[in-house]
Amino acid sequence: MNLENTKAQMRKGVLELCILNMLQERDAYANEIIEELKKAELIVVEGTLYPLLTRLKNGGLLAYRWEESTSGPPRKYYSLTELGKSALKELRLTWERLQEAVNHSMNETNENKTS
Amino acid sequence: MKKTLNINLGGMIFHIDEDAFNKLEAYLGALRQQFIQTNGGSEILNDVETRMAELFRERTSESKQVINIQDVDEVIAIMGRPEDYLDEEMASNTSYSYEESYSSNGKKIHRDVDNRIVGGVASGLAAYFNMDALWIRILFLASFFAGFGFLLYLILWAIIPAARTTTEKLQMRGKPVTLSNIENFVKEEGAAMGAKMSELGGKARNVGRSGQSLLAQLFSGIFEIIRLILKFIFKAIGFIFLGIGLVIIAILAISLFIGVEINDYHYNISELSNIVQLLAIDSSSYNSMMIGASLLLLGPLLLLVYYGLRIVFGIEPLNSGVRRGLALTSLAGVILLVISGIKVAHEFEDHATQSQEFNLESKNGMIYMEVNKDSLYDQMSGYRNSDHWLIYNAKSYFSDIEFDIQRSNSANSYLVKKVNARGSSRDEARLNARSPEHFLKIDSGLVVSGIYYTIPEGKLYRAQKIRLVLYLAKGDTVFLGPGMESIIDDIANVQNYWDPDMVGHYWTMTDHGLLCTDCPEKERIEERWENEEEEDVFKDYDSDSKVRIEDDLIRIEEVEVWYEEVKPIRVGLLNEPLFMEQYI
Repeated sequence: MNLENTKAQMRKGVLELCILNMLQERDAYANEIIEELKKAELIVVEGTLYPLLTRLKNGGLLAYRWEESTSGPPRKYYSLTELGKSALKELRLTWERLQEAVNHSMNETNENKTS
Repeated sequence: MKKTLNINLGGMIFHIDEDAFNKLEAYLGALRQQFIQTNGGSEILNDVETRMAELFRERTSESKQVINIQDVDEVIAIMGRPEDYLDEEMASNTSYSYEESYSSNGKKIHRDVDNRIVGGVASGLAAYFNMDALWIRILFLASFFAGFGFLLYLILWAIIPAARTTTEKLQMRGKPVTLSNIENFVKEEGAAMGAKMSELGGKARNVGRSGQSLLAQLFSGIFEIIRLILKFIFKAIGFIFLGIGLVIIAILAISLFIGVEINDYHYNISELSNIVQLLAIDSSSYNSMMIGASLLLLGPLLLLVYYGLRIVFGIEPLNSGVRRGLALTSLAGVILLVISGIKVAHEFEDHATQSQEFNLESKNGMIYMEVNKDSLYDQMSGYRNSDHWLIYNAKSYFSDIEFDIQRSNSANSYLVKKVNARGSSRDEARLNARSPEHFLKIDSGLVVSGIYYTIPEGKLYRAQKIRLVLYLAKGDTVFLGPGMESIIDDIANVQNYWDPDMVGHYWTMTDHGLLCTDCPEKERIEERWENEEEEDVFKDYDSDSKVRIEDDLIRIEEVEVWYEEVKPIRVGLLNEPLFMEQYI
C-alpha cells in the first residue's frame, strides 16, 4: 500500500475545486495559481497543474486572455466562465457535504473508541 | 572553457551549457512523448516551456548569463518528473495506444539509429531482444544470400519507427520512462550523445521553434530518403568488396596449402605454377612471373578487404604510407609481369611445321578410323571446335587436334601428321613441334588416334597444333568411328553432311569428292524413327537384344544402348575385322 499515492490522490481530488475557487476571487496566471497551491501544500511540483488547467479550459470551465508582462513574455490570465461558476457552486456543495460526512464518520469512530 | 548553445524557450533566448542542454532536451522530449497524443498537448507543452523560461530567467543575471546543469536540475525539480504530469482524467480520455505506450512501460520495437550500420533495424531488434546486434546482423547477412533477407530488411526498415527521442530509446531497451532512467541514460550515452545533440542544437538554431515550411520539410524528407538509399548502396558495395576479397584470399590460401577439388580433379597452386612453367622460358623467367603475379594481386586484395571492412564497420582510414607501399608492390608486380610477358611473347614470334607421312596398307581399299578411348577420353572429348586444356595429375593435356580427309593424288591412301608450333626462331619452333606426345597407332588399314596431346616435363607449351590429314585414294572407303567426332574438322563431302553426322558411316572417295555410301536420306531419318516406334521396340525396355536383317542392313536393337556409351561392336565375318556401328 503506497500511502504517498493515496495522499496525492486526495489532494488531486480537491485541486480543481481550489483552482476554481481561487479564480472566482480574481483572475490569475499560472504562476500565481501555483504559488497559492504550493503555499497550501496542495501540489508539490508545478508540472501537475498544466494538464489540469488545459483540461478545465477545454471543458469550458475556464477562459484565458493574454496580458503583456513587464518582465518577460506575455502571460496567460485565466478567468472563470459562467459554466465554471455553476460548476464551482456544485463542487463547493459536494465538498461541504463530503466534509461533513467525513467529519461525522471520524467523530463517530473517535467516540466509539473513547466510550 | 565550455561550449554553449543558444536556445529559444518559450519565446526567450537563453545561452545554455551543452550538458545542460542535453538534459533539458531529454526532459522536454519525454514530455513531448507524454503529451503528443493528448488533446491540447501542444498547448500544455507551450505553457510548460513558458514557465520553464520564466524559471530560467530568474536564474540568470548580468553576472551569470549562461544556464548550467544545476539550473536545469532545479527547474526540473520544480516542474516535476514526466510521470507527475499525468492527469488521470486526461489519460483515460486518450486513445488506447497511449495507455499501451506509456502506462504499461512495455518494450516497443524501434530502429536504433544511434548504433546503426544501415538502417538500425538489426541494432533495434537487438536492443528489443536484449542481445548482441552482431548475431542479428549475421542472420540478416545469411538471409541476404538466401534471397529473402534484402526484402525483409527493407520492409522492416520501412515499418519500424526510428528511436529519435530519449523516451523511445528507453522503450526500445524496455526501461520505464522515468526521470531517473532518462538521467541514467543521458549519462550513459554521455559524450556520444553530446555530439549528436549539438548537431541537433545546430538544427534547432537554424530552424527555430517557429517550424519549417511544409515544402522545406518535404524536401528535407526526400533528401533524407535519398541519403539513406545511397548509404545503403554504399554499405552493400562494402559487403561485396569484403566478400570478393575474402573469397579470393580464402581460395588462394586453401589452394596453396590443401588444394581444391573441382569436378573430381585436384587443383592447387602447384598446378597454377605448372601452367606458368609451360609458358616460361627458364627458371628465372618463371620466378619473375610468379612473383610478379603475387605482387600484383597482394595490394588490390588487401585493399579490397580493407575497404570492405572500412565501409561496413567504419574502421580507421589506412595511412598513406601503407597505401603507397601497396601501390608500389602492385606496380612492381606489373613491371615484372610486363617484362616476362614480353619475353614470353617473343617466344611465340616464329612458327614451323613438322610433317610425318604414314602409309596405310589398307585391305580391299577399306580404312577404319577411330580415336583412342583411354581413361581421359570422357574429359577430353567433345571439344571439336574449341581448344581444351586439362591439367590432371600435374600434367597438361591439350585438345588441339584436327582431322581432315582430302583426295590423294597417288593411287595409294596415306596419312599425314602435321605438328605446328611456335618459337623465338624457326629452329626453335621446329624443335618445339617435336615436343608434343600424341597417341597414333596404324595397323593394316586401322588408324587409332589420341584426341589430345601432352607436353612432357621440361618441354614448353608453344601453341602446338596437330593436324591429321587422311589422303584417300579414289575408290578407297573409310569408316569413321563415333569417337572421331571429337577431332573431325569440317570435312568436305558430297552430301554436305555436318561433322557430327559423318561418324558411324562409310565414306568413299569419288570424282566428286567424299560420298557416304550408307547414310540415310536426310528426309528419311524421321520417317524411320516413326516406323520403329510403331513397332513398339522402344516401349519394351526389358526385351532381349534383337538382331534383325533388313535388306542390306544388319540392325542390332538393344534399347539400353540409348542410355549407355555406344561402343563399336566387332563382328567377325569371313575372318575379316569389321567395325560396325549401329544407332537405333
